[in-house]
Amino acid sequence: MNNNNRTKIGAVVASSLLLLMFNNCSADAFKLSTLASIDNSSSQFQEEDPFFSLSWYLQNVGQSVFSPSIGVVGQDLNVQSVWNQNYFGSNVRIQISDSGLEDNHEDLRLNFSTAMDSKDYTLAAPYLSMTSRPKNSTDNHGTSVAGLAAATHGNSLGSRGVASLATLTSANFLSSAVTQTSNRAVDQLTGSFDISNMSWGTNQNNLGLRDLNFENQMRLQTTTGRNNRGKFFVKASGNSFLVYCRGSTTQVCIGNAGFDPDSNTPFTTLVGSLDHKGVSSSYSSPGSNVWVSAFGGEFGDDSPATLTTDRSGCTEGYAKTNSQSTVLFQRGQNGNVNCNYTATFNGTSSAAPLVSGAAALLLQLRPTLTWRDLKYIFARTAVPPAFQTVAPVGHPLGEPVPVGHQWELPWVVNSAGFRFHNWYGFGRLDISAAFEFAKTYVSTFGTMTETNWVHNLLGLNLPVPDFSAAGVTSQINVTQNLKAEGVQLMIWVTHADISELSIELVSPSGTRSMIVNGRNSLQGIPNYQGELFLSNAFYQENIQGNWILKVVDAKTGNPVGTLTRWSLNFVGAP
Amino acid sequence: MGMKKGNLVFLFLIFVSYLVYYSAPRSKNQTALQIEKPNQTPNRVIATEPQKPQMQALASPADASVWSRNISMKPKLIPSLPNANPQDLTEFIFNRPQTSWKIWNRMKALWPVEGGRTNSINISQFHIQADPVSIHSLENFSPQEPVVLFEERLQKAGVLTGTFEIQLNHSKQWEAFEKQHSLRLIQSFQELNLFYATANQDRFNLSQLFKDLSQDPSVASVNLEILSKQYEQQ
Repeated sequence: MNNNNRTKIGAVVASSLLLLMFNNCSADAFKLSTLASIDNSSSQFQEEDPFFSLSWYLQNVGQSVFSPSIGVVGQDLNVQSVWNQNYFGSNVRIQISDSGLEDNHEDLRLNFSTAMDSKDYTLAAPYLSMTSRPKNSTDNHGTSVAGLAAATHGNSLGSRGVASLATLTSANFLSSAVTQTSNRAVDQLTGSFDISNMSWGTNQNNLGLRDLNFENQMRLQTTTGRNNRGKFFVKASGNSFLVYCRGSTTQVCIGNAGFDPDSNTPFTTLVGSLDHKGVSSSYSSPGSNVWVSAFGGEFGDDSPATLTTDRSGCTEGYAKTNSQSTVLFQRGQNGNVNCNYTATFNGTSSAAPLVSGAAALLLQLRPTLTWRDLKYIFARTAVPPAFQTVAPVGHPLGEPVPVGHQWELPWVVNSAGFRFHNWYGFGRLDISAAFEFAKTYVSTFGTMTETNWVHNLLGLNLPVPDFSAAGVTSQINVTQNLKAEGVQLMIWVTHADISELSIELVSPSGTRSMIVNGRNSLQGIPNYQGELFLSNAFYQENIQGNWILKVVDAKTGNPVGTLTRWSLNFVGAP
Repeated sequence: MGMKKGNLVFLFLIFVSYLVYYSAPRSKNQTALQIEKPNQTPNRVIATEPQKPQMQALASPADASVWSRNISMKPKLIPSLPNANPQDLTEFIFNRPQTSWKIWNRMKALWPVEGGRTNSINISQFHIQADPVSIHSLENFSPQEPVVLFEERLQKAGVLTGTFEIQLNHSKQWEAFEKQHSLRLIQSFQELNLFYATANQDRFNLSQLFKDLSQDPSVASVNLEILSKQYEQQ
C-alpha cells in the first residue's frame, strides 16, 4: 500500500467520525457521505464521477458501500495507473450481447456506436440496427453490464467503466422479446466488434447439449475476426455454485460451469466472480473451464455488489421507487435521485464486463494483440487469491465422499509455471500488471492446431468401484508435441446417477485437473454419453506423454458403473 | 481562552488517522495473505486425502480454512417441469447419437409475449405448458405450433421449431437448392456453408422434407433445430 492509500484511509476514518458525531442521518446516507470524502489521488476520479467511491471494484479502500460488510483494501482491479497513462479503450469496440441496452443513458450514450452495427433480433436477418433499447420491462440486464465495461468518465455522472472511451454495440440475444434460436446464437458471434461480452449461460443443474454451429462460428471468428487476430469472447462462468439439484425446487446442490457446453471451448475466456474481500463470491460457478476472475461482489444488502448504470428513471430497471430492496439507493435515495444507477448488480454477469473492459485497454495499447495473446497476458499476470497448494477442499455441503478422495483440488502449479484453481481460473484480474506486461510482450504463439479427437479410447469395460477413492483409471498416450492452450474431454460412462461421479484428468507432467466434482447437481441423470468438457489447468504444458483419466464414484448405493470410452482434443501450437 | 470543543475533536481525529496510517497493510501481497483467514462459515471437510504436495507447489501452510465459502443461497422461484406421462411420449426418429428425444403430446410451446409469463417453463423464450388437446404431428407441421419434445435421459423439454440447419458442400448452390426444395431462408452463414431455413408453406410434412434434404447429394449435413436451452443472465 502506498502513502496515498494510507492517507486515504486516514481521511476516510476522520470524516466518518466527524459525520458520526455531527450528523443524525440514515445509515445509507452516512456511508455515502463518508465515501464521498475520499481525497488525494482518487479525488480526481471522484470529482469526475460522483459514484466512483461506491465502485469498490475500481478502487477498494475498504468501503462497505450500503452493506454492513467492509471490503479489504486493495482488493480491486488495480486499473488506475492505466487510466493515468490516458488509456481508456479508445477505438476498441465492445459488443454487449445481452438484453439490449439503453443507448441513450446519460452515462452510456457518448460511447454507444451510432452506426448501423448493433443487432436487434426482433428484426429480420441480418438484424442490423442503430439502436439497442430494451424491448420489455424485464430487459434490464444489458444496461448494467454495459456500464461496468464502458460507462463514460468525466461527465459528473455515475461512476465509470473500466474502458470509459470504448465504443459500445449491442446484440439483444437475451431480450425477453427474442426467441433464442440457434441461428441467433450463432449470429451474435459475428459483427463489427473486437470484444464480445456474454454475461449469460444455461442453468447448471443439467447437462446442456452441444451446438456445433455455435462452436464452429466461434472457431471461425477467433481465426478470421479482427483481420485474423481473432475476436475476443468473454463469457460469465455462472452463478451456480449453489443451485437447486436437477429435478428439485428445494434441495440444493453444487453446480459446475462445465455443465454448459457453450463454455467448453478454448475460444472463450470464462470469468468467475470475486467479492469485496477478494475471494470467490458465494455464487460463482467453479469449473476447470474458468480462465480468470474479476469482481461481481455479493448482493448489496449483505456485502457490496457492483455499482453500475441502470435503466433511466424510477419506474424501470433495478432501481425504482417501488423497489423492495433494503438498500435505499435502489429506491432513488442517497444521491440516486433519478434511479439511473444500481448498487445491487452482481453475479459473474458483473465480473465478465470488467474483463471485457480490461481487454479493451490492452487492445488500445497494442491493437495487434491476438485473442490468444490476450488470454496469455491475463493468465500470466493474474493474482491467485487464497493461494494454497496443499490443503484439501471438502464438499461445501458436507456430503461425505470416500476416505482418501479429494472432492476439489487446491491450487495447482502446472509444469509451465501457471497456477490454476477451479474457483478462480488463473486468478484475480490485475489490469495494471497485464497492461505493463503487454507493453513489452512478444507473442511466441505458432499456428493454432487441434488434434481433432484422434486420441479416442473406445470399447472399454472398466468398472467404477462404488464409493472407492481409488476409482478407475485409464490411460492415453500422446505422441504429438504441442503446447496446450486448452484440453477438451469427451466421456462415456454408464451409471444410474452421474451426479455421484467425479472426473479427474492428469497430464503427463503430473498436473491434476478436477473436471467434475462428485456429488454434484446432476442428480438422477443416468450415463455420460460423450459430453464435452474443457480444462485450462494444463495451459502451456507439453501434451506429449501419458494422460490419465480417473473416475471416482463418490456416493454409495447405486450399482457399479462402467467407463466405456473417452477422447481428448488438444488445442495448441508447437 | 481555552481550546474550543471543535479543535479538540479535530486533534482527536488526527490521532485516529495516524493510528490507521500505521496499522494499515503495507502491500497488496500482505493484503492477499489477510484474506486467507477464515471469514465465513467453517467448511465441513468430511474426508481428506493425505496431504501430498502438488508438483512445483510453493511452500504454504496447510490451512483448509482458505476454502471456506458462504453457502447461503437466495431463494429463487423455479417452476418445475411436469412429469412426462409415458403415454404422452411417442417416437421421434430424428435423434442424434447423444440424444433420446421423444415427442411430448399434451404439451404446447407458446411464442414469447410482452413481459413474459409468470411461473412458466421457458425454453429459449418459448413458454411450455400443459395442453390436453395437443397431439403433435410431424406430417402436418406448422412453425406457428412448435412441437414439444422430451429428452428421456436428461429429463428436459425441447422445442422443435421446424427450422432446418443445412450445411451444403458449396454455399453457391443455395439458390437452386432453396428453389428445388421449396424452402424459405431464415439466415445464411456463407463462410460456414451453413443455412437456416424452413418450408415456404405454413404447413408441411416435416418428416418427408427432412428425408428429402438428407438425400440431396449437395447436402453435407442436415439437422432439425431443437431448442433445449434457456439462456439466462448470470
